[in-house]
Amino acid sequence: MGYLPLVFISTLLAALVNYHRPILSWCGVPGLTVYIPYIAGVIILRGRCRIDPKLGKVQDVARFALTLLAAAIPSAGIGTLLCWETT
Amino acid sequence: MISRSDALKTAINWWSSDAIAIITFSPFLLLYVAPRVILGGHLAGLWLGGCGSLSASLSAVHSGYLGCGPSWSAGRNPHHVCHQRGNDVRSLVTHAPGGGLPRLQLAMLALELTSLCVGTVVTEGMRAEVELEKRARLEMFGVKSARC
Repeated sequence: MGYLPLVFISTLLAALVNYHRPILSWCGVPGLTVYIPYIAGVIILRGRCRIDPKLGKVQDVARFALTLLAAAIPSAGIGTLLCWETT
Repeated sequence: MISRSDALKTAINWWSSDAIAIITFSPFLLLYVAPRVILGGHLAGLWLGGCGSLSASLSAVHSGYLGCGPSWSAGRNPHHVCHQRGNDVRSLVTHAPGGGLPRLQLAMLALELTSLCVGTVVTEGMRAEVELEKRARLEMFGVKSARC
């Protein structure tokens, strides 16, 4: 879990620089939850699947792509909900 | 902010831009950046997380320029873009047993990064132009209302 600060900092930077979003809003700091599915995906890749980070085999590439592409689905859902217009 | 009618479209755009970032940037980071930054092999697993998050952040840039809003790729054929991404995946998979990306793949990634940077400049320019237009309209409206 040592990479979590990197996730948080890069998320806040992306929110500020790319989207010009206010930090203290639903699409600001709570936007960090968007990456929870990715963190879960990485835990699976490191634990259950144990892929080679050098992606030396087609199997590693397939697992890497499938896991992270699947993690991107709930991430997209959470992200859309956080930017939902309520008014 | 996203309205209810645009929610599904935005979610799909969000996912596709994340998918593009995962497929294009993460393998590059894993193969070329991670080994040079982290010397200990036992920390490579940690880099999976870092690369995942970084590619997700890059995907935020991608979503800005490929998905919603004023898009730098609007003038480009989306099928061509998809075909190019498909080629990335195919060459990555077919060259995987060799233990690295071929030079052509590296060149394609460099091109993608360049286009990303150009996209940033173009989009920021468009944003500034829209802001200027709004201000000019407001000023015109102010002048007209003052005359009346």
